[in-house]
Amino acid sequence: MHFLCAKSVQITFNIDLYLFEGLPIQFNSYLFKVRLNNVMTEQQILDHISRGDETALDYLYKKYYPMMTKMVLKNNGTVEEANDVYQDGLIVFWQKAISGDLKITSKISTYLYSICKNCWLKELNRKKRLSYTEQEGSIVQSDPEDIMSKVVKEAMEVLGDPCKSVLTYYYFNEMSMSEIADRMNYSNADTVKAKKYKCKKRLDVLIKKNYTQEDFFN
Amino acid sequence: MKQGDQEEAIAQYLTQQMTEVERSAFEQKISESPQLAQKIKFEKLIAEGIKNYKKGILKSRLNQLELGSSIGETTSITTKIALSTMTVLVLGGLSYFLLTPDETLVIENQETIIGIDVMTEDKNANISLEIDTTNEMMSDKKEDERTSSITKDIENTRVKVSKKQSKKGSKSDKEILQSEVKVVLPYMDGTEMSFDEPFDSLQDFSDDLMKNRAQVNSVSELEVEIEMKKSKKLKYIYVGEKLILIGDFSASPYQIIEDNTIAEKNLYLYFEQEYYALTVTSEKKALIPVRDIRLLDYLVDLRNK
Repeated sequence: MHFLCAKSVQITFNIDLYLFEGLPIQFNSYLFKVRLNNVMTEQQILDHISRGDETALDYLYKKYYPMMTKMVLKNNGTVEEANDVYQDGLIVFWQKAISGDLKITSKISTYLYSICKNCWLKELNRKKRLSYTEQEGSIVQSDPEDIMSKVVKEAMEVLGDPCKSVLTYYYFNEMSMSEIADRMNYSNADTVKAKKYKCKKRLDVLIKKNYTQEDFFN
Repeated sequence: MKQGDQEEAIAQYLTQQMTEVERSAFEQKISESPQLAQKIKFEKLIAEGIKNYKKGILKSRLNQLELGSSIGETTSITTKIALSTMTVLVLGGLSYFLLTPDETLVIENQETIIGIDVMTEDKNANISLEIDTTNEMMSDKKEDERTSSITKDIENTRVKVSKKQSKKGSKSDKEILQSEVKVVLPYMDGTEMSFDEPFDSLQDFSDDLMKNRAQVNSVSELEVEIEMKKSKKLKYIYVGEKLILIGDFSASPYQIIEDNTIAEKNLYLYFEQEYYALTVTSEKKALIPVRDIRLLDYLVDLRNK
């Protein structure tokens, strides 16, 4: 297991200011706490992400939280929207980094900022469309992706591990069979392939129990 | 293609795990089969559903993080060092401002002590100061100038020198004011001191004081000259025992205040509710009002005596 920010040094300064003898001490026992955390280089962060170490996600989230949320807040966004956009943007970054799609040529913060900015622009457009359709009085139909997400979530909870992990490693992390085998201590890629096939079949059964293909497209 | 193989191909297609050749061949198949296209669309929704499921897990993980400490962590070590340095500087500055006036206070207190000693001595000495202020430019009769003579008993070593009130006529451009400070020293034979022994040191101090006063007497003949200018900027030249005030001094009366202590002699100008410190300068120097509250209080007291 990899620990990020595991070591932290806490330095406490006690500063007593005695002006001079005979005068009342006006500044006494000022306490300064300076906490120095391990600072990771950008490459170290990317290495941790590529290993699927989710503590790297926590580290990034905390590190750039003020910077990214400020962008949304300054552009007419609420705190909730700022949090949502930053979390979505960070997960997009995480997914790209973990799947090896990330060809980063700038600083992580710059790249993350551009993702978050795009996310916020998309959200603004969505809100604009929504207010337009509301004005027109048309009925807003549920998005098939939203319905499916709900259905898959319920099905995945029923499936439990190891199917949940195999499927998410395959579809979300876009890991190869051999990578999943390494991660989950399976003997080889073929075992994972068979496992994944079975899990996917079980998932399909659970989905199709209540919904058919036509429900989503008609 | 078997059912299993087709599903595997769809999964590979959706997870970008096909080579370029495999991909283009598969897309060709999709375009030929609407059924396959529909199936891929459905499988894509399921794949997105799985992704969203994982995203949801990650989001709830992030929501549980405490961001309270994040502000500290977002600042780099450099920023922390800079902040620490600034804190130290601010504290240093604060302590400087707190210390500086107190040091002044200490010096003033010393002066006060000296003053008290001198006052004790002056009870016997009864020194008087005669100040004559004369105007040598009385030829123009249109000028309405009033000069005043002040005779005042000195209560301590601080000597208040001259007071002048002038209303400027239209033609007078130059005035010369002379102030003479005469210190009449009483005869001191020491016989009045019935207890010499305990006051030996005081006697020594008194001698020093007398010397000092003699010096004050010798240097205190201040000649004040005014160069009238319409400019609102007030300037002065103070060299030797000559003080030249440059600017528009016609509107209000002014006062010259001499503050003579054993250690030094300070000269101040009071004009239109402002006090100005005068330092020796042979060049024209701007009159800058005193802003130090302690010094202002001190000068007000001195002037009101």
